[in-house]
Amino acid sequence: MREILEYYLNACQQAMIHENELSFEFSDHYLIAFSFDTKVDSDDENFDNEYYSYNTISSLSDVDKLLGQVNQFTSLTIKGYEYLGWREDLTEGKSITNEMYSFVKKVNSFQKGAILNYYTHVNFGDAMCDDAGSYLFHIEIEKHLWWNIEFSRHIVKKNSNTSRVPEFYTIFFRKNQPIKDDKSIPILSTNTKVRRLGYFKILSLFLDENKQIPANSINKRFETFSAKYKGLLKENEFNKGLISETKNGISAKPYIEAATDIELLNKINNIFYVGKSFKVYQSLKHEYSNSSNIFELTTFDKIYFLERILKNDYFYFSNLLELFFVEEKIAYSEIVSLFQNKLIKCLGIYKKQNQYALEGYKSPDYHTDRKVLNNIDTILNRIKKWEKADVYLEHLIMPRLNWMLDFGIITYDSFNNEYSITEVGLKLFKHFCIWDDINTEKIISSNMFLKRFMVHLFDDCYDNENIANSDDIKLILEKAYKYIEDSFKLFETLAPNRVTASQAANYTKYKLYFDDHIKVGYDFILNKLSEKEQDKFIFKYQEQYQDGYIQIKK
Amino acid sequence: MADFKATYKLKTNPFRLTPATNHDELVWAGFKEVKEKFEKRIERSIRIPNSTLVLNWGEYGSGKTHAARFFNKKDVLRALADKTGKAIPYSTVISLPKGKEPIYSIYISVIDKLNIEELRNTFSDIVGDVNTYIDSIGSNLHIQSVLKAVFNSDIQHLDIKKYLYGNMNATELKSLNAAGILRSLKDDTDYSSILAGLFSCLTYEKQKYSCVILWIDEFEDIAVLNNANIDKTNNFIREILDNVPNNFLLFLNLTQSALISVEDLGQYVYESVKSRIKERISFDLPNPEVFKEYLRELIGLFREGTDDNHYFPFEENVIDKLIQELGNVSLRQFNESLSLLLELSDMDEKCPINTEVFDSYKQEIIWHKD
Repeated sequence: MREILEYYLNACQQAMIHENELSFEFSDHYLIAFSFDTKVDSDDENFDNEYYSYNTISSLSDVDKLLGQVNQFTSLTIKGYEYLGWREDLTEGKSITNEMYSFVKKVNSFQKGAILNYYTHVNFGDAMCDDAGSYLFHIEIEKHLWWNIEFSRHIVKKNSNTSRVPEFYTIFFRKNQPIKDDKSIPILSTNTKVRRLGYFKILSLFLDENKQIPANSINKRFETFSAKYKGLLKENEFNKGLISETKNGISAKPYIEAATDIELLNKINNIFYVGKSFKVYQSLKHEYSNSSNIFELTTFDKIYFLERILKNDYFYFSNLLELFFVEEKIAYSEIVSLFQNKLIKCLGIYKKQNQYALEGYKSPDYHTDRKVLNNIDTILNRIKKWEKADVYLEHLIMPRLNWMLDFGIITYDSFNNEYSITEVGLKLFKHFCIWDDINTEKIISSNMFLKRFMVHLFDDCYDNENIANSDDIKLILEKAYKYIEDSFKLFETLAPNRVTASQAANYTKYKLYFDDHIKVGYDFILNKLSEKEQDKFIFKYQEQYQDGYIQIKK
Repeated sequence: MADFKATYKLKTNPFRLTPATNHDELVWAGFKEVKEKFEKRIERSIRIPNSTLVLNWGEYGSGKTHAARFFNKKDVLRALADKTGKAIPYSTVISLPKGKEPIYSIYISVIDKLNIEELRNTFSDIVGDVNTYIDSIGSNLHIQSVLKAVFNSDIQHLDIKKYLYGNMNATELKSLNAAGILRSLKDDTDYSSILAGLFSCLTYEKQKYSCVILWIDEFEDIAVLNNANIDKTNNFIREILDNVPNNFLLFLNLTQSALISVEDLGQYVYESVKSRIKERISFDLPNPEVFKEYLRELIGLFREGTDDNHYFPFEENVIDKLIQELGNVSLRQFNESLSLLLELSDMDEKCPINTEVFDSYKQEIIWHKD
């Protein structure tokens, strides 16, 4: 014990005692903290209040003095922190969550199962002080490693891969205000058969030929249509998820259901139509979606389908990605054994942070209500009650694993029967962590983040060129307005001189990225349209529909 | 308000927040283009036989309902008919029914407005020709008998109205047996056949009425109907256009709105109906010039006496400022702000309304959503 404390003392920048905690602070704002019970109770009049409230430990004799008074150590926690009052002036974002995960991986690489718990939270310190608060991560370590010198050396070793926060996030850190999270948990229910995203590309061809399809015949008709792609699926690197021909269309049904859930299809009065967002894909696929094998995703396919899935399935998708991030290599059976608990833990965190919010623990910006908590509880209870979890989990995990393969987020090693995360996957997960850090809590709904960052995120994950946008905002707007004008022809509706805002803005976003190498968010386009100086278009946004329409000024 | 007229040189506050129902107050100011489009459309239907479907699109409060009511006015229609030397159109405005039985509701709204006594008077000299014509439309003898009974003065007009409403019991129905009416009207097919037949008779040879104009207001509510009623409504429109091939002009008023999962209301209108659309009239948000022209004309229509300033009691720069502050908003929102400004000035006895007055009330009269 003494040896370990001595080791930390010599390695750290400073050590101190503060409220029953002995902590060693290292560079980059991280600490190793032991909490303890004292022999003398804090209520006792002999209790040395001053000593425990704050004291520096500078020599081994200070350690010995403390050890003489400590009854027992009760926890070992690795912590990192960021003082939120500094955010306004920072030149680069600091990602506490990414730092936490790099420690989690470090601990895991020493010994699996060594971590009891990890989470982030905000500490406002003394309620009487007007304090901006600190944003911290905590990693609680299993008892049997507390006094293991090898472990101590391992965790103190300098971190090599402190991850940089991309520049486009800086402004959001500086604002130090959460991005609105509507806190409804995006979940897709899937069938294990829905494994190839390429079938959605085929669906788009199918919809070119069939503008409206009655609900009672769509499954069968899509099956028949897909039959000719059977050979291509076989040749593709990933070949699971075949739609085979059946009497009643049962083989295509899971795909049609998934397509409806990610809003590629829209059903009105028992007739299927192309969904609002899929129309944008339809209009661009001839330019950007050609691959030698239809089941291979092009860059455009990836950005489009990834956004659809992240929007509608962030809960499962991000939790699965987290497993890959932490484990790096993992077998299917292991995912099955870990996943249910992973989800329960995540929902526990959601619950906790929203309970705090309800109690006014956080600043008033963190709006929440009972409905959010009830919704979390409903899902939590449902997941806890999964019977035959392994059967259920196959339907949940298999499709997502395969989508991740399609996206190049993970790879599969059939020899060792293991999945491993790729560079793309590592980067993608880092972005999710940064989102949490902007809001200083685990985000629930990804929608508003995707609206701002999807193109930037995608470019960072997939394309290392890191094209910088031109500083000439006028030029960007000129191009953007040109694309919006084009969209009036492409997305013509029954009403004259009108285009649906989401279609125009998404079309513009993709065109700017793929044709002009300009990265802008969906929200950027809508914000520019809303500005008073903008006099080309009339833009009306209707909050209740999360959409609006644009007209050309006459 | 005693000296309102004298102070503000206005008969009354001209800014209405909802369309007027009183015919005298239903006036048209500015927006010449839109007005011309409607006039042309109606004139065309007065002159030529083909039936037509027109969609009117506009933001909430952009004047769609107002247009329907204005062009439903007898004197307006009379003036248009006189230009062509033909008979006046038979015009009706109804709202899209949201209840369980939309077709029955449409049917009832039309029957409610049907004055059978007046109708029989109008048609008394050609009732023989109409009867012959009725024999030529369709093969449904029952519907033919009902239509004839509507024009037949031998049958009590209240009896036939009662029958059309479906309020006759079995005993009462016997009194109509002689006229060939042996059963009650009961389903949507009956209702739309009666309406189609009625519209055809009314416009027989364009003699008494040159055409029938039906406005269905709030048609955007089709998005909130259930599947079965979306079906019924679409089928009704298709059937009525099919069965009244001549002299029928149908206007559907639709609000320009975004929707959750579809681009616009177009997806609730079936191809069979869409293919019959002849024109789409758009009520655009007014730009400053259009709005100011509207305002000059509107104030002119309500002017008591004269004033060199066409905007009086407002100073022109107040109007410019208001336009700038409000941005792209509907006519209703402009009217709302001006109405409040006028009322507040009247309460505090301020006239003319200059920028100083405007600034003092600005907070109260301009509020932005979000």
